[in-house]
Amino acid sequence: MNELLVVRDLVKHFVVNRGVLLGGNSALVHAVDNVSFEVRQGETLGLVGETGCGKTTTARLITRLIEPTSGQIVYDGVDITHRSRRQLRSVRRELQMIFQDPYSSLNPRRPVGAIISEPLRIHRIGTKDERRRRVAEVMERVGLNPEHYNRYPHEFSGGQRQRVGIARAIVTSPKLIVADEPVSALDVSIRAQVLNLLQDLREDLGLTLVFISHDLSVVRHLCDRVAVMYLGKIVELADPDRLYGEPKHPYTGALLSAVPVPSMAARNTHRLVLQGDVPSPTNPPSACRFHTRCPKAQQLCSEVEPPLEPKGSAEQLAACHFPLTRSEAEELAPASAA
Amino acid sequence: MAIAPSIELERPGPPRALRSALTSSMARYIVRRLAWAVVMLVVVSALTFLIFYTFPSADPAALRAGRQATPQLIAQIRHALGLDKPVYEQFLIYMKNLGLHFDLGYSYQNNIPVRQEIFSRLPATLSLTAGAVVVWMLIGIPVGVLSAIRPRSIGDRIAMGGALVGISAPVYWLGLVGLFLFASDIGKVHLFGGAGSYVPLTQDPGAWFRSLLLPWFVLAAAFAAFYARMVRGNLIDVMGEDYIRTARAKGLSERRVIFRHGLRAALTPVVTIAGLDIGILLGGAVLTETVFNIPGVGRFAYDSIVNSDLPAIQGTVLFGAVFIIVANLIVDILYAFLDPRVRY
Amino acid sequence: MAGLLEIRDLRVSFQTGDGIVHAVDGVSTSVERGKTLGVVGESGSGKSVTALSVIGLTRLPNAVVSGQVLFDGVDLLQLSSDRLRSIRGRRIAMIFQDPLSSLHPLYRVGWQIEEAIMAHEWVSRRNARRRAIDAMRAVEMPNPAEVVDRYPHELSGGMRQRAMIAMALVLNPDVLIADEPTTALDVTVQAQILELIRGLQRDFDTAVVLITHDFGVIAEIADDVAVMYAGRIVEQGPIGTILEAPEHPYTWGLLQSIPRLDTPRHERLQPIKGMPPSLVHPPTGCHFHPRCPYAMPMCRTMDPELLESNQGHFVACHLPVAEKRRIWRELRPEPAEAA
Repeated sequence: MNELLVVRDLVKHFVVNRGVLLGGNSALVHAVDNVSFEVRQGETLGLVGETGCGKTTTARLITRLIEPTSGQIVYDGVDITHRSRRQLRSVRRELQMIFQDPYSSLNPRRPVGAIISEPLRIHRIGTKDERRRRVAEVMERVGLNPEHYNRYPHEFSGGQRQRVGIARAIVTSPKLIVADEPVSALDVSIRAQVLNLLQDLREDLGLTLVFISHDLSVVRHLCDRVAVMYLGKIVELADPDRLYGEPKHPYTGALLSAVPVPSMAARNTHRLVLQGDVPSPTNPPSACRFHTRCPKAQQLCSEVEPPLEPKGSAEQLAACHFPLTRSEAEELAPASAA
Repeated sequence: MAIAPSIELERPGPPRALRSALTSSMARYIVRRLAWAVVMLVVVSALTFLIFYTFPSADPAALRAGRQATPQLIAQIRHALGLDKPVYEQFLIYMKNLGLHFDLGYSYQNNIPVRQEIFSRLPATLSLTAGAVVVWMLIGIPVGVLSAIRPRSIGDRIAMGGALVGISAPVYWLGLVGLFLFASDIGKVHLFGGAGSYVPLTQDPGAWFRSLLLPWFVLAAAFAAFYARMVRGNLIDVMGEDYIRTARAKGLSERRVIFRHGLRAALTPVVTIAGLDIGILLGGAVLTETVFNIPGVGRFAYDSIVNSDLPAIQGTVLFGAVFIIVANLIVDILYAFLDPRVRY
Repeated sequence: MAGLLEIRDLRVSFQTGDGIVHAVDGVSTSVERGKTLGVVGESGSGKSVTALSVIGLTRLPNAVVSGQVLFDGVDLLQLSSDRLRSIRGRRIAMIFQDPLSSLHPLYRVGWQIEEAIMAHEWVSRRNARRRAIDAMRAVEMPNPAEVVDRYPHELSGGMRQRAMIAMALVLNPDVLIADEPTTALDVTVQAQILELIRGLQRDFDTAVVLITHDFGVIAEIADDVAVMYAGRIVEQGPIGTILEAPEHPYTWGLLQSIPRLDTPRHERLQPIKGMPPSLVHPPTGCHFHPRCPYAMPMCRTMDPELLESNQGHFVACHLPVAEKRRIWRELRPEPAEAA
């Protein structure tokens, strides 16, 4: 079981400056706080969470768009934590990213063919003709007409633009793709098309995927393992059947109970558990970050931070002193089928 | 399972009284800006010095000496003015006088203290600036608003076309044409005071007003045009925002929506730019003052350049810089009051 | 079917650079007191334009609006601007998708609510302020007395949407139109807001029109559902019927294509093929036919009418009813274990 990506104790703090003479008032945003996980070759890892949980920051850290405050990122055995941009170039050929907004992630002044072939040019792959052929091949692969090589992004619909983004991501035959909310901005009927496309590509190209989303249903559908994040930490990490069928962490349970399901059965049994809003990441609660909103919180939770460790089975990790019991989990997520 | 009601506000900030706006954070910001202001003024003075010595227009000592100047006389004057000392020494002396005694030196031309000269001319510049501001705001903003409410209408096109003319026409050309047409002494229609007819407010308010009317409109022309375009552009953008849709959905009258909601948002950047423009103009509207022969700071600056009068040039440049820096600071602080999203 | 708010054959088109956009192409529906009508559709379906037309916010120079919008018997489309304005905000209120951009950034939240009150009633500012605080309390805003002096950017997403709801409901309107009110919110906050709207509806007997693209949200809160596509309603009926026995291929497509928590993980989703249609040159006949797996030759030429198939269930499709039921039985996802 080859681990393609290993992340250890990753930390990213942003300084929010209040513009002051002698630095008295600057606040620290604890965006990502000691996050560790591995992504095995060929698997799809999902990162889910709500606003401020740190999933997007984690995505940017993995792809080294930003540099971590501390911690380690190892890609294919190579430590890329503090590599310079030049040194990262060879890695970037294999590590690509798909972005959320198909309207702003494509340069509007360039034709889509040029956008897709750019990674090839940057990594000096192939001759001009070979690149052209590769781009045409990839365009067909993602469901675009290769004859539209010279069209501009604004001439395409949202779903098609996202396909352009995907084409751009796979054109160098990468091994690992980080997809940051790739379907959130798309219409519902188009979402399924693009998700199916990602699934097909994953199989055909042997891709490893890190899939970031706030949509629990989509993540369950697509991922082999799911990590739930809250205020910069991973609170639970398990395969979907376990996570959705028998969640251990109270936050996971609360999240699942909040997801609206399109069925009459869910309508009548739906329970609302979580009140209020997520605390500010500039001032996170002590020890277990969820303890201020947790129905099961006790004294220990505000004093000792629970480690992420197996609960119930070796493959289900949760960071909680008092994980959900089976009946509690069922009460919260009755709609979830195992 | 019990529900744990732990409800937190996202950003518990300080109370919103006016007093609180001058929190230590804002005060520290002002202190920092003022410190930078001093640095900036030193740099500006140094640059002026440098420019003067690299590209002198004429030897001030020679000019001062007059027609029957002998080399000895010139050398004598040079020594008296301290022009034979090395540049940096002259500069240091200047800065010392400025910093310690607020002494801007003496004009080479007539040996009058520069500070005195500038202060005596300040009222004229202030009069010119204040009036022009009033005129351009009273014309520019309404025109901009009306154009924005009815975009692409005939009125809008005429207004924007006129604005284009206003921006493109050089102010001295406009001034001369104005004099040519309307000046009481040389004009076709004897409407306004001619060049040189300026009279201080305290002396004769009526004459003061008449003499400044034409300069006000001439100076305001380009600004009114620019502001009309800016207000139009801002307001059109703002009226497309979601909160305008909400305001209408609340059932507010269209007038209230346009003015209370639209204009309020559209004018914020306008106010700040106006502050900057005022700061620049207070340093002296050189061209306008020269064309209309108004004895303001701008005219003085022009004269002192022509006469290679370094202390006077230094003085006017510094004055202009002070006004601009102060205007910048006021405008930035004002912005924090106008837009609560801005924080210091 | 007479309701509190009744829309009859509403048509809205816009003159644009590319041609005439037929945003709303003959929409008829209604909503009653104390009930929630869910309007489901994707971008370009015309759901938002329909809502805006009800309160007269599409009275633009380049918009052509026809049909009837009957509110308490009065046709809103024929009303003068002034009379319509007195209804807007007071008797029919509307909230929008993104509360950060929908609230004025330069005015305090309390002030904006007070403004809503004072636009329709002659009260003192102090009185209005008190009512604004009460309204915020009713929407379960934490610390209402303090939040009333805050600016929108100082509040969290959930609080902002509560403020918008407070502003909409402060005058106790008969109808609340909510255009994607929870789309921009986190899922836990969304659940709170939906529960809030449900509670307020119970307390004040408000009629709610909830526009969304999310069938899960519809299932949570709607009593009746109208499914819109390319400017038309293609299916309408009670929520139970629409979720369990829908009869329009587009509805099937929508329900089939969304991943859900209550069914086993499928290998593949069933998307709707093709792309949303152009509203300038919509397809002839049934607007959905280019994407419909069951299209027949007549679908290309004949506009299907919205006909009653069951009690209260209307469908615009040429397929025979028996055929529809058969197809749906084949398509229907496996039943949930609990049920």
